[in-house]
Amino acid sequence: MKITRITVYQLDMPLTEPYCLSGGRLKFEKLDSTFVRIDTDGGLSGWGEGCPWGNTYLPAHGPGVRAGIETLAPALIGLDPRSLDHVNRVMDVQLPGHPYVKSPIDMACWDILGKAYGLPLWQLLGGAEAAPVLVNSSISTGTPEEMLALIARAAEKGYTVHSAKVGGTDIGLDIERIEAISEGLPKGHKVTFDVNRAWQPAVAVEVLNSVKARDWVEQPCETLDQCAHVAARVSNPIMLDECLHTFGDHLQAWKSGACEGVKVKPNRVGGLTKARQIRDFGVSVGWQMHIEDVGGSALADTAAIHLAASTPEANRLASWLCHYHLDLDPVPGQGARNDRGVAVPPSLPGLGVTPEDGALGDPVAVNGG
Amino acid sequence: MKITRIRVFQTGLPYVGGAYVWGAGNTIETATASVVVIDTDAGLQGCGEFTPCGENYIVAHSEGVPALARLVAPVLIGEDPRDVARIEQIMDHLVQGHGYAKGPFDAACWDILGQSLDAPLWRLWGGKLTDGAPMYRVAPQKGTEETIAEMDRYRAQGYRQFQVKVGGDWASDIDRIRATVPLLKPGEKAMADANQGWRVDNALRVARATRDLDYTLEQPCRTYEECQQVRMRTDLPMKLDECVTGMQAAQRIVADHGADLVCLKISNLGGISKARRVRDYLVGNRLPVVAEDTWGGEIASATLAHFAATTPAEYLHNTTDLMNYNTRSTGIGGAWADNGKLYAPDTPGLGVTPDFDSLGAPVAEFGGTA
Repeated sequence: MKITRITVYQLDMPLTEPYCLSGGRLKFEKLDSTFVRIDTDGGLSGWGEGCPWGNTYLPAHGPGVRAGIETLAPALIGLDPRSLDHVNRVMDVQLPGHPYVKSPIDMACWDILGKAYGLPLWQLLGGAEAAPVLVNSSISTGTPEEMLALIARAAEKGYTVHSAKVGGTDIGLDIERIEAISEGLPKGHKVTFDVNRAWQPAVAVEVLNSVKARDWVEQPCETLDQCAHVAARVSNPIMLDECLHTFGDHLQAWKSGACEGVKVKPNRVGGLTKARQIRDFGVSVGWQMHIEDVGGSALADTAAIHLAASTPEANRLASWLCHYHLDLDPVPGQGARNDRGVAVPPSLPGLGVTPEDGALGDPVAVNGG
Repeated sequence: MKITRIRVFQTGLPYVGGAYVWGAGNTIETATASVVVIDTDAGLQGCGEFTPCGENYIVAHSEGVPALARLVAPVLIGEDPRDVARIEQIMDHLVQGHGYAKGPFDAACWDILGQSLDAPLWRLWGGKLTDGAPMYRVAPQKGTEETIAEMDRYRAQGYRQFQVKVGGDWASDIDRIRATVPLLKPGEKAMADANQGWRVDNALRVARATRDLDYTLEQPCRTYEECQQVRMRTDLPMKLDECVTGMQAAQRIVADHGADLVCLKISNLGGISKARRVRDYLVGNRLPVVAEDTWGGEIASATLAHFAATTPAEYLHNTTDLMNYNTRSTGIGGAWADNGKLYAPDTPGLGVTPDFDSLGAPVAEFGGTA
């Protein structure tokens, strides 16, 4: 089987409400998503999606996805999409770095692999069943009262795990937020405090050693070294996210004792193939993981939910669904959807999500014949 | 003063020697130059260039420049290009990473600042601490007589540093090093550049088999960690290059004593503003540097020449006349090489103007006419 054509679509996906994190430092109103359809000489097609979370959250941006595919496409035409490790090695030789470009291509190849063998991705990724995955809410930064109100609203919808965004310029307010939320949380619910790199190491140490809360804290500081410094001085379990890009970064995080868990996001690390490698490493060292994508429609979300569902329950905490925040649904009714705080991956062959003809508009680029 | 128009041009730069071979099995015949030209309402025009040594040399590809331009150019229009640090900050706040694509915007604004003050960039950056930066030549891989004759010709042109290209088959790499390094005369310097091509075990084999020779081992393996594994077990001086991607990498090198010599490639560091900060940090820690870029024509070379000229001579190991490696140009004027040394122009700004005949039509254009 050979890749014959790579078709690229672009879609602006407005958010239902502007999203604010890290004390207003990062704000978005829409996402720039790139959809990729890979066709083969065997007649099978696969779909992938690459959707950076704005342009400043990670070194990744929408036009960059399309530019990278332009550079990669000539080397991909003619490859067997089922040889996923080979496809990934070719991409890494042709275009060093730029993992966010490679993820949609890798995703589409997984889709083809699944269709070729009639198996859903959760099974190809090693899972025993289409296990239901806990979905976490995402609680925007605000006053402690506002944030607790958002959590109460999420609880009504069935969410039991919450990701509360903290990390403003006011240390006292961050302490108040954390204490209020940790105490006011509905019984049996869990919360992670996501700092999104906002704290200097001293702020992190000061805040976390001042609060009684012992909940998870995500990405307290900018760099891995800074986070490791903090992890050695506080009692909260630490989860890392934005400072991890390569497999080597994850090894370094483990070696330096910088965390007890990580977020596994295919678009941040270069696709499902690399995310699976990181997931497997995480399982082997006892990490607990949030497995979700950086952003995207239900298509990208579903790919991540397949990976989450195939991960041992003890090693996965919850997954966030980006499509829940969008004002537009290019794949209505398809894929893993939130149902009272739980999402189940589809059991159709491959990814199990196929955009209808015309749902994505006209292609912005067609590579190959 | 306000930016009124930003254009991106791309042109192929064929290698003067046909095919340029580096590392393990990589070859380029033509590099793609991306040139950013910025116009202002004051009539001043600035330019900057990014040219990779092939699209897969480092984390940097040519398509990435117009892709970044789509996001940053509309925001930069209307900004004062003379506020170079503000321009750098705006770009960093708009898009994370992708420093290679921001570099030409950064250089173009410096160019305008220099012109507006009627001063060459070497003056704005502290003056010529090196007036004529030493350069090296790649030693030919020919029979001994022929190699000696060619090296003598380079010596007559003023060159005193020679590089051996290795990084392929380690056993023949040993022969190459043993054949070339002994041909050097007292006072001359030799480097063997593997361009990340060796595995750790094979790098150690090469280092052991050549330890009686005086030369510098360059970026033997792909990652920083692998290079450190080699460094722990060899006493050859080590130069790091491709893995030097910014201030964090530089801090690690200083903290670990991870290299004896650090190659600073402007595009790998995210442009001249960031490259200067990394250079000052390393020199402040008494680490010598090489002033370089990934590749380039006249515009990239002019930026590089000002960078080299403002590096203290005792800490500048060498630099390269990149513009003389191509048969096509990106700019007119700029840096020049003489007697094995690279000189920065004294004309205002970068001291080079875009060669529009060679650049052709823009691939992207933002804003109105100049």
